Amino acid sequence: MIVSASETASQKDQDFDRTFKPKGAVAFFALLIVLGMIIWFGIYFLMLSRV
Amino acid sequence: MDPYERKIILITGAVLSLFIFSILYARNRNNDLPECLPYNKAYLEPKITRLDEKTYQVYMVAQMWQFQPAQIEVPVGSEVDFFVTSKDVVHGLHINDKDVNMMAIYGNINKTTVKFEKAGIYKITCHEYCGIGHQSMQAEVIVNESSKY
Amino acid sequence: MQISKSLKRLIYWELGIPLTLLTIGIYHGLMQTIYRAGVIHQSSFAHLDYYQGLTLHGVINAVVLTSFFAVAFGHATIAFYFKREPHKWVAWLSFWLMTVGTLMAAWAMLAGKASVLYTFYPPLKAHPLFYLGAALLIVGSWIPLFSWANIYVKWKKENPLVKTPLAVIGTLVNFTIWFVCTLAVAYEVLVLLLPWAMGWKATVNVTLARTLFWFFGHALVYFWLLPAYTMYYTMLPKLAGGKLFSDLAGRISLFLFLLFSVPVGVHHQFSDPSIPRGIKMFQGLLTFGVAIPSFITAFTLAASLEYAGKKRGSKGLLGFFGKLPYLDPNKYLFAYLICGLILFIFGGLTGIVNASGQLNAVVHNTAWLPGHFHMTVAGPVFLSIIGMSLYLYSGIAGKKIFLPRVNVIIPYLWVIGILIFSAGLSWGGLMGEPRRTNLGMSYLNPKNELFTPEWVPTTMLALCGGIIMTFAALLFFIVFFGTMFSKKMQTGSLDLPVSEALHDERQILLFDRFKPWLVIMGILILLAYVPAFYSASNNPGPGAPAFTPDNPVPVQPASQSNIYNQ
Repeated sequence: MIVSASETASQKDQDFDRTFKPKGAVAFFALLIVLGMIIWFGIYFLMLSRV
Repeated sequence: MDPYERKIILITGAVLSLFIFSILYARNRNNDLPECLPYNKAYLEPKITRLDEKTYQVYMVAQMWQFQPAQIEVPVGSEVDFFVTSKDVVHGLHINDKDVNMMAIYGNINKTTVKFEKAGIYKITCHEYCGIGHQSMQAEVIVNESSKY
Repeated sequence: MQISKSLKRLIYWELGIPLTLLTIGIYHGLMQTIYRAGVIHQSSFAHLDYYQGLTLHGVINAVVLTSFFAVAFGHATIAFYFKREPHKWVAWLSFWLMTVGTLMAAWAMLAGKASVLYTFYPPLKAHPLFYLGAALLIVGSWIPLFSWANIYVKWKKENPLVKTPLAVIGTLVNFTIWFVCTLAVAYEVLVLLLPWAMGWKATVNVTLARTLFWFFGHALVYFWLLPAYTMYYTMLPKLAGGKLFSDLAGRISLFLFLLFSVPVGVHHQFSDPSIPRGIKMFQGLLTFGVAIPSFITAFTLAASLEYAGKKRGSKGLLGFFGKLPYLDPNKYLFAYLICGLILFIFGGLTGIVNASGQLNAVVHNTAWLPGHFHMTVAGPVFLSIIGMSLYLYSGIAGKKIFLPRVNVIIPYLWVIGILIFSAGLSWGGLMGEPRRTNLGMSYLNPKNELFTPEWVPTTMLALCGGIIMTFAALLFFIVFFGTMFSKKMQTGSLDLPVSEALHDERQILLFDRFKPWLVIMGILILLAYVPAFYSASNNPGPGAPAFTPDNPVPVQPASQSNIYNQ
């Protein structure tokens, strides 16, 4: 079957959309949580040391 | 709802629950939020009362622009109850090296308990704007080694 | 979209007035860092004293700029998405009330009669025009909500099966929060403070005044933030060259803000007397609830940017960050928005620390607090305000940006400035450095007995950061006013970038109507605040007389009301 160029372009777009998985965003979010815990527990242990 | 978004909300909830648990776990009489007491004008008289060798009560009165008493001497290992109020505008009472952070408010009594386990000079700083003399408002707690007593 | 001359002029004034006043606000920000670093050891400079400057800085930057912008941006989003302009007389009435109120308050502050800081805690008393001006500014900003809600309801009747546009939800949620929370501060100002400031009432219940203020004060920060969030969800993905990962996530976040923005204000009063611990802890818990929509947003935006980066051919897990239009002068709005997000990472996380019960004792009222909030209000909020003001103005006026290559680097300079500035403040705060204090007179004066050398490096960092920020702001003023005074190049129009959603879920009624959320919002507010107001009204003792900042003797004669005589 012959498919025109513009059809393949939009098909590629649809495939991209369909198969897109935000793995990088998950990694970023994990780092965000880690940073949050570092900051939070930093102040937490500072608070405990001053009791 | 997108499955990723759902997982993110669960992870967020778990982390926040961890924080809440940690706060509750560490809660003790020396680091808790200030206690609220009913008003009594007796607290307007600045006073240091020695209940026994290691237990003190301080009626701390904040005013524009000093704390009274401005110097409190206690032996190391003492537990001190601070009863705090203000004669005029809102003042802050902050002992940075201990977890003491309170507002002194006219018509209100604020209370907290501190244990001084290390000798040294602990500065009490006013950290709420209280007028033109605010930046000179500092007092101190002098914690002495027991040999003095 | 073509808009009427009236709406054009309205938006010009609503953007122009606060940006002009911002010059004063920024000047005082810089002066703060200079006084605090001990560069000068004076109580005033150029006839403006430290605390007067601090009041001007807070009121102009955090109340006037943000309120005027939110109203202008609200007009823009409603008009653009519904293709219907807000009612003309409503919009202009709102503008005049806000402007007259601002002028009154500005006079009081500049005359030195309102050096009470933007929180204006009693028993410190300001001139009555300060309170009246503030009330007018706030009431003026309510008024457009009624016009917008009216337009929305009509549109919904005509389009029952079409999803309400996300930006409209953002604007309506934002102003609903604003209307509800300002009721408390309007009551505080008009019933508690104004009669007392005029001498008609002898005393004021300070705790009640503070509790009313903070009912308003925390929701205020969401009033600041939600226009930025609206831009993040509806514009940022498009500007980046991608799509919004999930439209539903945006709706959920906005409705969660509606629920949790108000019933959390007592977390600013953890160290106050007369409010029981139970109430403080319950509101602290609800504050953790308000953190959730921000985490949802962080992920959703990262996913949207990842889509954009991958579409441009990025490789690797985090490679997408490298393929975004950071320095494209034609996409300067992307730069302003992404820089706000970078700052908000630190601003938001430090906010969670502040809300955490006992951890608050480590940081309350220290320099850590301004360190935190300059990474929020002076981060995403400020950058989105100035970026969008430029965008709206230049679009509507049909003008080209003046010095576009300078314009696009302004946000990055600002980020560097804020990070250095907040690092200094946060570090200093952990070492006990107080906020709201003219350190140069005492703590940072080597000749003074209170000199605290530990705070020298921290205040120096804040000074460096402050200088960089001021330079960035100066460049912005040049770009904005340069654009304003440049020649019109084309027909003006109101245009906003509109992002397409990747997952454009069908209309879910729960996330497309306000009623159920308003009911839950009301219930939470009652649960959280009825006990708080009850305690604040009944636990304290006598009310306080009025004091001016320069005198320990109260304004009312002692014989009338002072507790010395009880």
